[in-house]
Amino acid sequence: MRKSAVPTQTGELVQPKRSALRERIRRLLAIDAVALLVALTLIIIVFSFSSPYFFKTRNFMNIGRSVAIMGITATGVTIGLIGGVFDLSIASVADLTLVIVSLAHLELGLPAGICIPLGLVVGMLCGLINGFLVTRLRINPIICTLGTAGIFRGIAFLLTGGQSHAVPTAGFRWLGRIQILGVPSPIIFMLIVMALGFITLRYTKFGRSVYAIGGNPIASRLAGLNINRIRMKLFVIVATSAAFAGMVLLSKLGTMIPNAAAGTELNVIAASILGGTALAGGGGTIQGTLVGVLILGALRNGLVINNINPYWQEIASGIVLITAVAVDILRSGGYR
Amino acid sequence: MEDQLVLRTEQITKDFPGVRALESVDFSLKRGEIHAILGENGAGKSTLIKILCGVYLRDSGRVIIKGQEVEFRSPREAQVAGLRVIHQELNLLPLLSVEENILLGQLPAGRLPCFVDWRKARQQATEALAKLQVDLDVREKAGNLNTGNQQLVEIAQALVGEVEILVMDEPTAALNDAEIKRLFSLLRRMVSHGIGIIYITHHIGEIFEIADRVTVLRDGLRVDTVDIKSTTYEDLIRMMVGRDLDEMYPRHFVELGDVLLEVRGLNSEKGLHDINFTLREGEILGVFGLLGSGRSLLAHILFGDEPKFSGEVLIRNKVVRIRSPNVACALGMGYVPMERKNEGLIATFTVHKNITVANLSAYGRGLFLHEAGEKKRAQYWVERMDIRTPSIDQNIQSLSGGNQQKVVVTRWLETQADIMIMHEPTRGIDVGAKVEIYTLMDELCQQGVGILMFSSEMPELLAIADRILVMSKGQLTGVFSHDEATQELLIERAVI
Repeated sequence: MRKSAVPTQTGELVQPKRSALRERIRRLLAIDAVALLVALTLIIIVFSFSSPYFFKTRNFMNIGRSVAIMGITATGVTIGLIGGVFDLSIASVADLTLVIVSLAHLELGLPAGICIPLGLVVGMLCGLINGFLVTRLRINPIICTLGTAGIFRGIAFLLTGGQSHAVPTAGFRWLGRIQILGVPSPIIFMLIVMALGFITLRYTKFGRSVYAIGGNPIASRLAGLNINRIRMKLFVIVATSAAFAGMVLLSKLGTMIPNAAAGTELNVIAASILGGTALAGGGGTIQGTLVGVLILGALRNGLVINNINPYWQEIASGIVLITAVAVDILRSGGYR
Repeated sequence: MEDQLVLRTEQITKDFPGVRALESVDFSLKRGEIHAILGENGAGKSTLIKILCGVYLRDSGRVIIKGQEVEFRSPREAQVAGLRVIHQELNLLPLLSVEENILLGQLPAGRLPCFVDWRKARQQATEALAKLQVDLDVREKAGNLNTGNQQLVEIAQALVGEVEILVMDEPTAALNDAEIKRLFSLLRRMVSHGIGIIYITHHIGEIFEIADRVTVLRDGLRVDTVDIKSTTYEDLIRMMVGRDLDEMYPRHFVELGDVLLEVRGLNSEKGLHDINFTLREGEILGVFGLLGSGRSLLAHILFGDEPKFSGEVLIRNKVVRIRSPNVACALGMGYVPMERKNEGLIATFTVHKNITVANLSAYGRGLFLHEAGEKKRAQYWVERMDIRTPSIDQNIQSLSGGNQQKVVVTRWLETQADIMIMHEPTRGIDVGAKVEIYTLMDELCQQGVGILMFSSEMPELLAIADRILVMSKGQLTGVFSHDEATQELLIERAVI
């Protein structure tokens, strides 16, 4: 007998205990909503005790308002990731849209009623470009969108000369600055976008095919799904959601800043993964992403009102992202 | 007697959610013996192996190796104890050289820490290959070898270090006749050195050639263990499927109808030259060829998965351009791929979603999916096709290979495809499931479907095909009717 084989002389098996526990954890994690809601509840409880300002309706509205823009983009990103489409250009798309809409309003004097559809068209075009490069020229989506991220941002800077500029946002106020029945409008828009995403994924033929091509693109193609067309649509959905988020951001800021959204893409992707979206594609839900977004928002807010050095927020976000991916690994068997 | 046994299991039981995979299985392996394990897919063969080599933990029972009870927690521990497994799917790293693959995880250390002694590595790898009496360039990339040689590399890998028990899972699945012969003589040489071999297979014929004893499993139970000399082919089949199989190939040849598919002067730069044939309603047209004969390429081209070719394809006498698989589907074609796991199944999906994935447009109007109707239809198919699953909401991966294959075929019954391209439709599935697939193909023919069946198994082609095309080096080298075709003729034409 060699040493690493484990003889059990009594005939009792010690091993299954550990694996049973692991199995139980795995099964619990499989119920994504439960594990996530537990995490969110824990965060809320901890901060409620540590700060008297946390557990207040007003503060919850603050959290909601701060995550709404992230939530709008995360909806598109989640749908994309489920279908195996990875887009790193979202922040640049948001900024480019913000700039073009501002200029159309400022320089051309177009009313908000025209500027907003125009902004959505900008997003769609960006998505079409990404989709074309990936599906026709077969460029790796991560590299491709890293490239287009630079291009879109560059255009935004060229258009503005790198300058920020105040924008009279009267026509855009309703996007980001008003309250409806006491609820800030960005939250309402986030919920509407998420509801649309939820319905798309859960109840439409397109939604089913997104899960299919994310689960196994080769088999889906051989089952007659037009995976190039589906991927194209996914890129358009992701970029359009980012463009809409960019306009809400413009309304909130009232200023044309060509790099207003820069750096937010990783948080958006983190929120989606945290919410249970499978990195490898094929799995995930919008309700999960909503909880993921709320966890990130509650965490940041809690740190702020506890007067913790803001740099810690970055570290906390990083830890949360890694935790989320670790959970993804436990759930799926992971990166090998 | 006791010390002759190198491995013994007692009352092994293993449960998975919803199914008992193994129940009180006793098994034993002697030194210098080849002990075959035979059983349908889902009979518990793989589960037993995975328990032996430490991939799964048993729920109860004992495993005794050389008199000591063991409980491996990982394949690595089993390896250290002298038990090696060669899996059905080859696990080589195609970009690494033969020597690196052979010594994977055990490259000899050099003088400096973290460095490899390549001279020694080369020597060890060459020695391992010499044990097998094969001559391969150890510096060649593994991906450049043919399947037979890749398998030899895997065996060499398993023979590095001390090995007393070798487990082989369906080792001949991807080999041609010559390679199988070479493998068998190799196995005989290994047992003559005292190694015990557990040999898992679906091919009953092979067992009589190579095994000393055979254990038959069915539905997780051990049916019997018998000496190979005291059993017959019919006995084994009966034990394996639990019923007589007078009709292995149920086939009613019908009057052929109109021409469904016609191929004229098909050429491809990747290796097809002037292919011409027709497929008619109610016909099974077999295509036989060895690895590299171009038959896979032909299958891919016809289903639009390989858009670059010249020549004409006609469906119902109309020239069509099949640019992609979704075009092929719209033209009424269906495709059952060879690699079920990679090309057929959507592993994240349930049974019902796998059945309907090619036919989503049929459920509900407009954008929305009518899931209730879809599920009802899937339920119908599960009953109609006798797909054994606890429910249609079960994940597809938990089904046995034969039932998975039935799901993939059902997908095209769903779309009512009338031209079926089946690429090795019975590969890796058990006798019982094979018969079910043959029966289904026969029924389809009676309904006027035409089937193009690419296969490397001559017995099934000879039994069920109306005509057989033979391919070699990208060309059609023979066409035989059902009555004139023989194994000798097919082989003769295939090696031209």
